[in-house]
Amino acid sequence: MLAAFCASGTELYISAIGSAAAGQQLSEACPSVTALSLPIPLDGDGVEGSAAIVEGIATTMPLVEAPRRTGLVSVEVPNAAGAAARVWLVQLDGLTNGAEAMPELAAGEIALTELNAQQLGAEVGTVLTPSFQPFGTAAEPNPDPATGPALTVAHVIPDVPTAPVPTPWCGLAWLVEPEADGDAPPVSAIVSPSTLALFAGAHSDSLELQVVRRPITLTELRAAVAGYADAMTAWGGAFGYELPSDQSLGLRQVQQRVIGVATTVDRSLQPVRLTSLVAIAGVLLASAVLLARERHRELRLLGIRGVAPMRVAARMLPEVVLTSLVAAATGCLLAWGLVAWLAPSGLLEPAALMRAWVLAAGVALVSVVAVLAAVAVVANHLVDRITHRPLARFALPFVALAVSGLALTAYRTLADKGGIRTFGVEVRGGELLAVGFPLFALLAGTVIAGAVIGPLATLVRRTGGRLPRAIRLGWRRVVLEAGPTVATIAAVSLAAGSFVAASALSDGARRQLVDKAAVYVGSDLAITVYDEPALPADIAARSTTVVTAGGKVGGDRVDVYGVDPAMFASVAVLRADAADRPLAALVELLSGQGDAPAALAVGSELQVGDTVSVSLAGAEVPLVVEIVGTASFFPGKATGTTQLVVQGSVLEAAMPFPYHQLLVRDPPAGLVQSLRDQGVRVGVVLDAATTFEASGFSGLRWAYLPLRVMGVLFAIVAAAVQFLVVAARRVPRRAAHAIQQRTGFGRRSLLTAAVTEAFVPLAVGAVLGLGVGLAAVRLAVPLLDPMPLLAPRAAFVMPWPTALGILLAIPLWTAVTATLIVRSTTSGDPMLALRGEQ
Amino acid sequence: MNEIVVECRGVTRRYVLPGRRSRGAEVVALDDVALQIPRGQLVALAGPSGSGKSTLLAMIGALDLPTAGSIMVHGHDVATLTRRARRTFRRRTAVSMMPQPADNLLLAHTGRENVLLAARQRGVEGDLAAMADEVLTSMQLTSFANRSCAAMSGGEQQRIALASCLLGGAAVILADEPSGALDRTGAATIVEALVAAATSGATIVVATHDPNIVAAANTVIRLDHGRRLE
Repeated sequence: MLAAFCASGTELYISAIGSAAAGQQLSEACPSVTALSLPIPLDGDGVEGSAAIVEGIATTMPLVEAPRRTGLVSVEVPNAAGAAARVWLVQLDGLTNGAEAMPELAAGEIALTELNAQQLGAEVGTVLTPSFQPFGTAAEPNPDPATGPALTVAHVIPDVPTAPVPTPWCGLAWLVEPEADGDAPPVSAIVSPSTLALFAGAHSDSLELQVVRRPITLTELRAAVAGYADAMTAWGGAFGYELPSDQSLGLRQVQQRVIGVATTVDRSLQPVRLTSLVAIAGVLLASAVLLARERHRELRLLGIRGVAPMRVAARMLPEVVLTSLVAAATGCLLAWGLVAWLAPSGLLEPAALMRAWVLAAGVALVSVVAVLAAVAVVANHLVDRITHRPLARFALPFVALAVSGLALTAYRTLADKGGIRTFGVEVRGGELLAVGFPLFALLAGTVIAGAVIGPLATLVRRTGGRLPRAIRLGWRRVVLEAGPTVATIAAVSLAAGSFVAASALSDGARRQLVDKAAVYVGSDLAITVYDEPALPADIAARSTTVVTAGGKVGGDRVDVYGVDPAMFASVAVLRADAADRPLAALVELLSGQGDAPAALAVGSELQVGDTVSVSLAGAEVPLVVEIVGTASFFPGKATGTTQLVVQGSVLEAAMPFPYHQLLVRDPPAGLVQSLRDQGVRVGVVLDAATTFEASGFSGLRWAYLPLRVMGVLFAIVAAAVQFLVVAARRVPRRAAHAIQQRTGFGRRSLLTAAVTEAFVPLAVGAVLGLGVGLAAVRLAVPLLDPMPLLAPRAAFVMPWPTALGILLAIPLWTAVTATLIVRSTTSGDPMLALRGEQ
Repeated sequence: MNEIVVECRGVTRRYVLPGRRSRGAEVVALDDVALQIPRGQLVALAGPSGSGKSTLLAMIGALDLPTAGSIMVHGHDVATLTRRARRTFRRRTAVSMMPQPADNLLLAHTGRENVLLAARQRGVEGDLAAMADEVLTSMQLTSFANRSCAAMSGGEQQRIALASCLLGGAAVILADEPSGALDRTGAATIVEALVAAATSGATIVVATHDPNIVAAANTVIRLDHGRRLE
């Protein structure tokens, strides 16, 4: 059941991640950007004839919404000052101004936003006479400009919001958002199809086909991309020329990002899958051997009668097949339910479900073979004994050596090549050996400990003589049989280790996203502004303006970052390992009086006391600064180049046109829009919460979660091993207790012995697993950094709640096991136990 | 003189003690034992614990090999058989081993099912159901035929086990402590059943401490420290 759970669960989880990533990427991307826009050519059967052909093609496309017809024509109209102003006449189905539907427009009527009306000096009722340039044709390549029909301003509507641009407008964002340098966008007017038709031969029409607005799987996304390609081919066949391939680029990029995220998770899960299956296979074999021993009388009788081991095993075929099938189906269903319930998306691909069931069936088959083989081997040895045990004594040390070699090789591979590296949407690296290092190290540590504890337990078999009688009995039961003790310790160690490693890795991945975003953005929100904003007092108290500029030091590029020492440290955050002092103290250094303005050197080899001459873009005189402090990274460091941090006023004075960024901590919703409303020109907006959403890097958050499930699985395995040991020792324990209770060894003493017997392997396993797991993750986290060039480097985060939770679970687990031991010991008939009949 | 079905010559069995501390020390379980067992006899192997009774029985039943000597059973020298051949010998020849009570039957099955299963495993041919009924009737076990063996007493289990050996005409039955864990009544019924089986032509070799079986045996072979006492 566990093996089927792991095998099918990972398959389903990756599918769920693909669906979650597809949903996230599609919801964050503008629907028009990911849509296929099929042009409606003017030639051939005319616009409407071409439109009918394109609509026909659109009907064959899978997974798209109803098509939207768009039309654009560029005209010139005289503005209020009498100068010619370029105006884009836009027709697009389903436009709103953000909240309300557009008013109906008749032929010759236009609607203007307030900003556009202001730019044209127009108002409702104003009549504009446009001129336009018709497209050239074969007969007339360069037609003369034409005068268009009179256009009456029928409506002036509120401006379209820009942060964010409403979905119906996002494909036309260039008509509503300010330019990158803060200038107003081009003037546009909304028209009806009938108005557009009046500009015959000058408007370009197209049919926009957007992907369906519902959660979709990666398979469906692939089908949609293929549908785009088929539609483009059909379009080329219908009109005789090919569409450029970037027509469907938006959706293909989304697909690549989704694949990137799914690949990140898939590659991160490979070692989880491998390790869990190996561990579960071990437990399966151990259980099979215990099953065979449990039925040794039957096997022995059949062996005495000369029945061949395979025939003995075949007698168990029906029950093993039935058990395996039921267990595999239960495991697969459990995985399905848990993934559907807990994974970031419950939407699973039918093919993934099919693969999951096939894997579960495969697991059932393998387990049937494994169990029957184990039964056959045990049956073979029960009667016709092999008297010598070749190499059995060296098996565990040999395995320990092999697994240690594997862990060492994995570490070297990770150190040399790194883990999964994300380059935009592309995911590289992620070799099984490299990303599997934490688990392989955990496995190696556990096996080495097992190889040491086994012989050690044999050596200390006679210890504990001075302990109280009950505790001594429990201790002796722990050390008397090294095999079950080592098995329990190993299973608990793997459970605790993988659980704590999962927590540390997934917490670390989340922390990485936060840390890198904080440095990349500078604070929670960074808004490039071209005018000085007037902020309410509460927001002003948690915001600061930084000044940025590019420059050169001796031919090498540097980024110069001007901060306000009074406010910066209260708005930005800096991880403690960035410098030898906290952010506030670091920024305070900039206020020092020296011969030259003070600067901090970030991510460079410059030393305190160095004087640096910086050539700033557009400045006539270089800025000479003295380095007063250094840091390995600093807020706003978005590239690998050296960053020089100075006072903002120094940079303002040194160059004419620096860029200004407003950094805001805990920004309120709608802040960007409110800035625009007050007339502030806004450029690039970076939000720390979403800045890496589009990259495969974001997949890391989901990659290590299944490792936690694996920890739970190992915990179940550990419990199973311990309960099997309890069950296997039941008969001799009953017989021993039947004698001991005559000597005053009561139920309380039995409980004390049981607590000791249960607690020691659990505690040793938990401490071992926690130690090895945390040490392995501590080594791995900096090397697993998927974007090592972007500061800061990934750092280990101690998962205290998980570690303490594991330690607190041990007494509880001990209590349950001890209770089971006591009950199974006292429930039988003492006389039957003594006669070996129970 | 009856036909000799089991003949041992110079049978010796030594075990090397396991573990490093023993330094290869040997234990002699059987030392140069010779015997002949004719058909239709009830032979008791008697002697104190550790005298080699069970070891000798195991070697006659092809469960173990002598270190030296030969063991002829039905004309086969079991001392020369390979592991696989010994297994085939146990399954296909008319030699049946009867382990101690609680180890001699599949407890989840009924008495009749156990008898039929043993016959099938030995490759007995014919109307097995009728043969099973016949042997159960002859041993007065019909009332136990359809009862689960787990619900039977030790004596009843042993009688069912003996019936399993007899179905199909097992010529040699090797029984290890058949009355070992039984009360007096149970032991008595087993002795009666063994005598009846021997009377009907089966050769029965029993390793036992039970004086009743020793008294009922046609021949008693005494062993001590692996040697046969004359």
